[in-house]
Amino acid sequence: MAPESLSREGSWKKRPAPIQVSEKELPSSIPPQTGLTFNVWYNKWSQGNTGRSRFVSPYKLDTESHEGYTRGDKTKRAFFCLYFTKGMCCLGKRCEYLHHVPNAEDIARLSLQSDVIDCFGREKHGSYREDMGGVGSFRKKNRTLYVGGITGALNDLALKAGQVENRIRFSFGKLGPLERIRYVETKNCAFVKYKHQASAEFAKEAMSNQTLLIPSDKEWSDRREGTGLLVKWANDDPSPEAQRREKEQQDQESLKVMLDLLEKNDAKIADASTDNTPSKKRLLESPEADNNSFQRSIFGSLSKNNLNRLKKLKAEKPATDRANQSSPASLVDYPSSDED
Amino acid sequence: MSNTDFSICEDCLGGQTRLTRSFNGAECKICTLPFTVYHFKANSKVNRTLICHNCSKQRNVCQCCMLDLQWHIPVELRDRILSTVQGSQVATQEAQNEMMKRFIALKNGDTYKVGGASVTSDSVATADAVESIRKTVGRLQKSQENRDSAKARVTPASVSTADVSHLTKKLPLKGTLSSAQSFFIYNLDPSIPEWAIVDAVSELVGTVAWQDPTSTSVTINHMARCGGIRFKSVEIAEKFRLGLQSFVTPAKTTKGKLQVQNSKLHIVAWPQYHRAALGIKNAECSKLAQILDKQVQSDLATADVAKSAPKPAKIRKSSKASESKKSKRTKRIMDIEL
Repeated sequence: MAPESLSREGSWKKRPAPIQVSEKELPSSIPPQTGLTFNVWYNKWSQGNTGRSRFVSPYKLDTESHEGYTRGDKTKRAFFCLYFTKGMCCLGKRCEYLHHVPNAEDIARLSLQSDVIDCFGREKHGSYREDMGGVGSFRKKNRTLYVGGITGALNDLALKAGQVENRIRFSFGKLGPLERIRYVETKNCAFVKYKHQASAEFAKEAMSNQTLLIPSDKEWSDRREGTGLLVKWANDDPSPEAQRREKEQQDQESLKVMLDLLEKNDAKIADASTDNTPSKKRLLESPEADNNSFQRSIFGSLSKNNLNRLKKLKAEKPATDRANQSSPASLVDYPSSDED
Repeated sequence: MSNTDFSICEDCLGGQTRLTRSFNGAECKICTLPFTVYHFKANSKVNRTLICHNCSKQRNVCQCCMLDLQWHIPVELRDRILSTVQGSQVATQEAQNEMMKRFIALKNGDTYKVGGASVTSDSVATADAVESIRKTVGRLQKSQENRDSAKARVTPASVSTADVSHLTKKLPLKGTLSSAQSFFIYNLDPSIPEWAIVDAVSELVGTVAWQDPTSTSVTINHMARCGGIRFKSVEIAEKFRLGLQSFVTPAKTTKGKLQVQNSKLHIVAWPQYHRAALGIKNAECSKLAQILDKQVQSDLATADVAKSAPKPAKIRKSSKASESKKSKRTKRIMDIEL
């Protein structure tokens, strides 16, 4: 993994990121007219829906020539430029976000961030959208993308299944280390699984509404007539073998985490025995925790930070804290229990 | 409800003591109700709380990163660990319906805990859980090792009767490890990811630039348990070939071996690298996997030859017999279809 990241970095780290689209040529933010009135709130045309609602994006990320360093590299920013991903950043090296394909170093930096933010710095949602599009959910680590709309992306060009898979593999493989690709010929869709979640997020934005045609096809000049790829989050693979594999991976992961937990726990205990102050804290904590279950649960839910702050006021703490916590709790209990 | 409290983990807070509060500043991502948002700047970036304090108490998670406050792991992982330790199913079920989300939000997070939160929010129960983790870890490690050793013996389960002669014609089943720009890989465990193979090859040739940037260089069909790799130049391919461990099969052909994770891939030269030969349809793929599995068995027979000579021969004979039976069956099916 390490040598790969090094050599790839070498190619883009030396040159400034080029401007992908000049500011004057940027398209209007209003999509092509498909209805009678424009809904400013949803950024969509409504009424009398005629014609297509999806279009092939006129811009495409070219991984070889578009990568480069930006201001974001100097300020050690962890997030990628969404416009760069779509091939339409007009800032070039002045961009505050990163302009390159996520590599091992970026993945490590992103993993320090929480799961609730994707690689572009957007907040994820509680659950997936109904159509599985969009930013995705923070509840599930999803590394698999569903690739649909292949017929539209090929402008109805009839290709053999192997060729279609090859094109998908080629265009998605450039955006991060792949784990597996599965093209389902009967459904004309593909599932692309990446090694890292950040790569999947990146590829999802980069490949949405792109064409699968290549310049040597005779349909290449008409590529804008198609509808482009439909890239969404995938659901779990229902095949028993995939489930078994998934379970094995999860078991391995949880075993690793369990070992980590034990290690951390041992370190904490060692700390407590060597240092004086933490052991006092422990003494202070445990009798309160034993008071009753209610009191205990309050304590657990408090953040460590709050706890530490409270512990600083050692003397008056137990009395004030109990008073603090019990009064709001009883207030909350009141409406739900008595009104019924 | 106490509107002026929050639970943010040390990692997110980063020692910051100044927070900006905005009442009803946003919609909670879990219960969809408005809640008191806290903004703060930590680790040179602005953070904000995403879920309400009550929801975070119910699940014992940080309001910013949604990791467990006690163990700093995702909720799903925490529940999985607790369910393996306790032997019972622990899960944080989330409401799908908006009304139900709000109903659950009515419950006081101090007393009402969802899933594994009841354990990690309680210092005594957490200590107990850590003790039971300590007990189960040894057992799990042992079972994992057993599984790893058993993995090598996995054989394709489903029996398919698809006709794959048009594929096997193009595949170098009888091939040897000779100089070529592209190679055929088989004896591939379906759990091995592509990136592991790519990494192994990069390590062997000592460069990551072995892939041709203008075309696909690695094609793996996990269903058929085989794949192909193609090198940018003959020199790198030659380096790869010489770097491989090689062995001689009973049929006196030389084949390469590449260790990836804990399985050994068999490698032969494949000058006519062709994606379509790896199969597309499910039935084709599983049949191909069967044929390749037989091939692997006959490749590996060398080791057995020394110990017991008749055994591999018998295996081969039986496999041949079954193959002929199968071909008959496919013929019959084709007749019916006609």
